[in-house]
Amino acid sequence: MNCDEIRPLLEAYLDGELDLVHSLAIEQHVEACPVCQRARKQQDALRAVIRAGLPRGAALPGLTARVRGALRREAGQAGERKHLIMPDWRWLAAAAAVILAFTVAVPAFRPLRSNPLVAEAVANHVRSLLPGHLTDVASTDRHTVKPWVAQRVDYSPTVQDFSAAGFPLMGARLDYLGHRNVAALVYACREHRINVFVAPSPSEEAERWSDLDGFHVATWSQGGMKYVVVSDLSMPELRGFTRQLRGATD
Amino acid sequence: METPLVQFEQLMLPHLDSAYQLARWLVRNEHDAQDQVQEAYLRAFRFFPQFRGADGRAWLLTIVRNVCYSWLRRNRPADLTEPFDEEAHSGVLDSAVDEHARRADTELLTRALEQMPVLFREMIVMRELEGLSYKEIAVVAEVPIGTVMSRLARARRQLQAEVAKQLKIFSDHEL
Repeated sequence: MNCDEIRPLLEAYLDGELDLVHSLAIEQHVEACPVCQRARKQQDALRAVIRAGLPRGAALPGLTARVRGALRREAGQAGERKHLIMPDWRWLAAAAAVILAFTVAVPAFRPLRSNPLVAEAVANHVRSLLPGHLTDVASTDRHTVKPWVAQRVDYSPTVQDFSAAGFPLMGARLDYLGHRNVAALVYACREHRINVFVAPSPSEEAERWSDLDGFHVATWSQGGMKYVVVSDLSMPELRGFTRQLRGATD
Repeated sequence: METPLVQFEQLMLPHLDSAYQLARWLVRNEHDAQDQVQEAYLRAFRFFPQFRGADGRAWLLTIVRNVCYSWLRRNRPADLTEPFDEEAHSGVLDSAVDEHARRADTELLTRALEQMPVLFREMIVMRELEGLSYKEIAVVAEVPIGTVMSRLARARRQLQAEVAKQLKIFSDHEL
């Protein structure tokens, strides 16, 4: 083989993709040819640089739990419950640590895993994040969003923009929660999304927090409305958001 | 008898790191990469009955790649039409640059790889970071093996050139 035949095969050879016959032919040639030897050294150097300089990072820690949660909702079968309560022990340990941390740090926190409303709200939130599902009316102007909502549900929730506090209004969506159509107001905090589900409720309820599949969920009732807030935002930031919302709806 | 979900998780969750890695380099942002990985797993689960059990990772990565490309088409169409200006980078493979490139650090390489057109960037990710064979890359990228070879070769040249360019920008700033 000559240089012109060798060159196109050199990379495949170094990638270990060539058959034995071609590999041997290339080795023989490169041994004897200084030009091809230089090309080979360059290739070796480049590969070493790439491998040393681009370490293969692992997926982010919460991602497995999040994907599992989404899959479980997708499967949505009673038959999967067995699996749901017997997850990988490492996740169980991690979840226990998280629950413990929140129980200690936030007395109001209650694990509400069994609450179907919370599970449903988280499922709605996840679905809303799929491309094109976030908002039916995309507007940062509450004077556009509020009438849109009022036309579609038989109540009129307070719609406020909290841009000044770092939570701009993104729009609203009609969603289904607790066996009825509800308004979902969508806010942003950097790249994170916050869904606020609002529906009429006769009773007043204190704020309760729960955690499901890496999402935080806050529920409360005030002023004749029940609020369910879902986001993957950090707990302190989401608390900042609920304070804004509660202040505006008082 | 294991449920389809348990089977799916056993076969596909071990490839989560690979899936995330590919998505992360395709959409170039951690948050969006996580969303696309989740979407890809949901889609893979729906298509799971059609999976014939040959190569789980390649099968999953094909879906991850398709999901990411759809996302790019909607959100950053310019990413898919970047010109590949090889002319501008010719003649940079001299030994001085080579010497520099040997010492190129992670930040420099990351930036260089991120600036590469996506069709070539993914070749480096699949081959160098994920260690996929040419055949597997051909399956994931849905192109013949010959195309894998030529794209990978061009991608390596491009990466070397990008590193050289970045080093030049650096030294220009330092002066």
